[in-house]
Amino acid sequence: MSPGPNNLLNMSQQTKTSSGLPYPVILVVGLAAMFGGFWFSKNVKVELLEKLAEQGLPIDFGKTIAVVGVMLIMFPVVKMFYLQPLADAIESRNAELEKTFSEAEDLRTEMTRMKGDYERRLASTEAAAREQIQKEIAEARKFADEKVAAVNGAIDEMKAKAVEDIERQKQAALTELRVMVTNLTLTATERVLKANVDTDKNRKLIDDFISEVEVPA
Amino acid sequence: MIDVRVARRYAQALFKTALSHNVLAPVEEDLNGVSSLLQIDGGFKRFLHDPTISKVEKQGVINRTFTGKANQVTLSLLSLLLEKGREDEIDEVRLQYIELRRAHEQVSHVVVSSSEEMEEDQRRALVAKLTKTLGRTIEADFKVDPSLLGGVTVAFDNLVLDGSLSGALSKIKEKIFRDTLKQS
Repeated sequence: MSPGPNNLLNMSQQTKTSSGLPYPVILVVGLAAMFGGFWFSKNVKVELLEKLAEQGLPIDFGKTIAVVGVMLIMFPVVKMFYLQPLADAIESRNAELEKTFSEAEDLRTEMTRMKGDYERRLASTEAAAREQIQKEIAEARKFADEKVAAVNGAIDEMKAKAVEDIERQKQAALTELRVMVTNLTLTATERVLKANVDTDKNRKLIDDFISEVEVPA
Repeated sequence: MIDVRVARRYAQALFKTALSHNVLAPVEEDLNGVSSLLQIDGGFKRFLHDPTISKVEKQGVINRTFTGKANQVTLSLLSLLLEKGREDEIDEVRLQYIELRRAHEQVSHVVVSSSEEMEEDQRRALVAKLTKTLGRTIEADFKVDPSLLGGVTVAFDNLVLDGSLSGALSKIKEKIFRDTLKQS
């Protein structure tokens, strides 16, 4: 897990505050520690330390103090040439990271917004699509109903026409039959008359005509 | 081919001439005679229609045949028809002449048809009845038409008085057909 930008910023601030004393004081203390340490190392003999050296554990407090003094003298230089640029670099890096995180946050916000927009648009599109589908289904149903109604109407019409045609043909056949019967009857009547009307009957017919004839106005 | 309009014009000219000479009836009798001769004598008809015989020769034969037997007015008509090449129109001229004469004398022409020959007394009775009914003088032509089955029909102008059995049957047939059509 990488440190966040706030932790790095705190570390930089702690480095700055570790050297609260003025540098001349530190320099004096350092020189004193350095020379004092050298002096202590050359001139002061500690029995305990000699025993430890004899036993294979050489410890020189004077040199240690001298090194600490040197460290105190060198610290501002180190700070000037290393710690400060490092702190600046860290700060710059922190700023860059902050900026990056900020941009990332903005991007995330933008993405969230876009996602919301997209989801809204998707929902809207889905709703429109559903509405369109329902509309198409309704139109298809209406079209199908109309077609079915038209076909049913046509079937009814055809049925009615067929019934009418049958009735007409029936009437025509009956009429033809009646005409045929009438013709046969009249032909038979004509033959009977031919066979039965003799001269006397014909004369009677003519006499009747003469007595009854009238000219229409 | 007979042209009725041409025959009508010849007939009108003939009628005027005959009327002015007061010879309406003799001319009609002459025309009836010539028409009968044309119907009876095929040789005479062929002679008149023969294109190889000249008009002069035809007129000579006509004059020799009818002079003294036919009226001069009739002879003049025949000569004129031969000269104009209208031999075919003789009978139609006769019919038109008769029609003009009937119109002049206000005589109605009726055609009486019967299935058998009518007795003379029936003819007279019928003519008398028609004369009385129509209020006009009647000239009747009597014909025999066996298809009438019985009875008689009288046709004049555009009217037919039907007293025949076939007419009665036709009326019955027509009524039955009309009723049948009404039912259907």
